[in-house]
Amino acid sequence: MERGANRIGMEYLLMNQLHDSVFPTILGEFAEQEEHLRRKTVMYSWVLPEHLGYAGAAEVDFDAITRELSSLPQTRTPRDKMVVLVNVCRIIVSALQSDGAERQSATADDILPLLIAVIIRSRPVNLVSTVKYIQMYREPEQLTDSTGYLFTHVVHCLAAVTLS
Amino acid sequence: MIPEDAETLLGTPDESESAKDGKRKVTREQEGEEASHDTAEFYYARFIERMRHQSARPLIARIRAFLRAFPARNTAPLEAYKAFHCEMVEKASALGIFKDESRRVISEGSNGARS
Repeated sequence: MERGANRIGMEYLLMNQLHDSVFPTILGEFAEQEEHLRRKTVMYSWVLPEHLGYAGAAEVDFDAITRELSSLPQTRTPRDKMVVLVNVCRIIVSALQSDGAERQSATADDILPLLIAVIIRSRPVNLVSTVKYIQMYREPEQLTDSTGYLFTHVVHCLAAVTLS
Repeated sequence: MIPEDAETLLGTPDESESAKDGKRKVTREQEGEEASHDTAEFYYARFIERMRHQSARPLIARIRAFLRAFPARNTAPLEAYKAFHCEMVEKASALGIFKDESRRVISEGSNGARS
């Protein structure tokens, strides 16, 4: 546990300092994919969750999601960027849990259509580069817990939009 | 007194990233985020506290040297970072100044307490 705490702390400390060197490089490397995603989100701007197979009645708080995503450019460390993206997932999960349907928990089948719709509608700035930055510089074990599971949804939705 | 190098790197106590994190945490709690992230913030705040310890000065100096050299490492920055991160974690663990705190984290975490 001591080592785990040190790993988290050291990553945070180092990446806080290295962000300005590392992130612009990633932005440059994935500029083409960012533009591709932007074009896709414009192309699919008419898409609603029901078009993606979602049949529920969850009302996603887009204002809360927009507020959360607007903080993304101010974050520096992989962890903080991941927290923002995971919080977006949590807002969706929260909406699913209060939609009146009788379910034990929100499943990927429920989350993914809403998350894809959110990505299309909110067009997060530099989402491709942000995901790559997290995948590259976040502690690997931090990508495999419950938070990492939600982050995986973002990765899948990003692929769904860009590869469609 | 905090060594000048450490102050530049870690920030003054009032303006440190852990303090900023504390402000962000309110927003996160409003969004219903689970305690796992608060625990990570607790780790980080305590980590920074310990890094201000006199015995961590060689680590601070080493980190500053790495950061100064980093922009020149335009080949394989990820590998350079990963290797350095591992080395620093080893050295921080060897210092032992984080040990008691991490034990406290475990007991507080199990009771659901937050920083």
